[in-house]
Amino acid sequence: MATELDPARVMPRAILDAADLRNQRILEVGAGDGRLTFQYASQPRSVIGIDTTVADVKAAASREEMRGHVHFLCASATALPFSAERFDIVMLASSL
Amino acid sequence: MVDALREARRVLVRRGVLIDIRPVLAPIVVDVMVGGQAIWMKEVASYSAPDDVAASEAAVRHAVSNQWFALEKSVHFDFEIFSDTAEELRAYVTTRKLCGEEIPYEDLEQRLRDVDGQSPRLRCRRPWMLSAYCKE
Repeated sequence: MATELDPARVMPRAILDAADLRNQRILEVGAGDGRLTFQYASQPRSVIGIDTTVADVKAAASREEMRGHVHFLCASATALPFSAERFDIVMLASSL
Repeated sequence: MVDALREARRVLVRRGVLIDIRPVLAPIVVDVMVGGQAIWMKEVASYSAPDDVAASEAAVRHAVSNQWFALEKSVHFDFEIFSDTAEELRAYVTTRKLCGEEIPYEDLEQRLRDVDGQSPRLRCRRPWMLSAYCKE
């Protein structure tokens, strides 16, 4: 058996306890390869995951769980390529 | 880091939610598990870079004191990593850039050998924190 990360899904449960994600527009900063993203992505209206590592962004976008309302792009947290007041929730995933 | 919080605030709607999830400056715990029970455990003083943690906390304090965000909720939890071998655990931990005390991989390998045949696994528990803020 390979290394298992958070098999009890404690992190996504903590997120779901902290905010109602249903029908929300979410920006996840530091999405990496999308491992966390797809553990909550079924509830929001849309999710955009950003990361500064191109390889991670490509890996996230090619995951088999990929859905139409989820997008990944390469961008920096300090210069977000989005207009003002575009998201209901911003998640900083180990990005501060 | 303050810049990241300023940007987060800019793209959030009024009363939008900022969720900050990150490891905290606390020891990790490594367990040898057999049948879902820990039969041996060791606390290891291994952390994310303390300077980075301090900078993150300072940035959040700045954002809160400037009324960019108001804290709504904060919870602590353990992020668990399970491995079959010490080498697997080492491969994962190496990518996390921890500093401080090194996990005793050779000791762990020996402890796994001691209970070989009982399908032992290693569990590494790393303390994390989730904080939810509301845009002011």
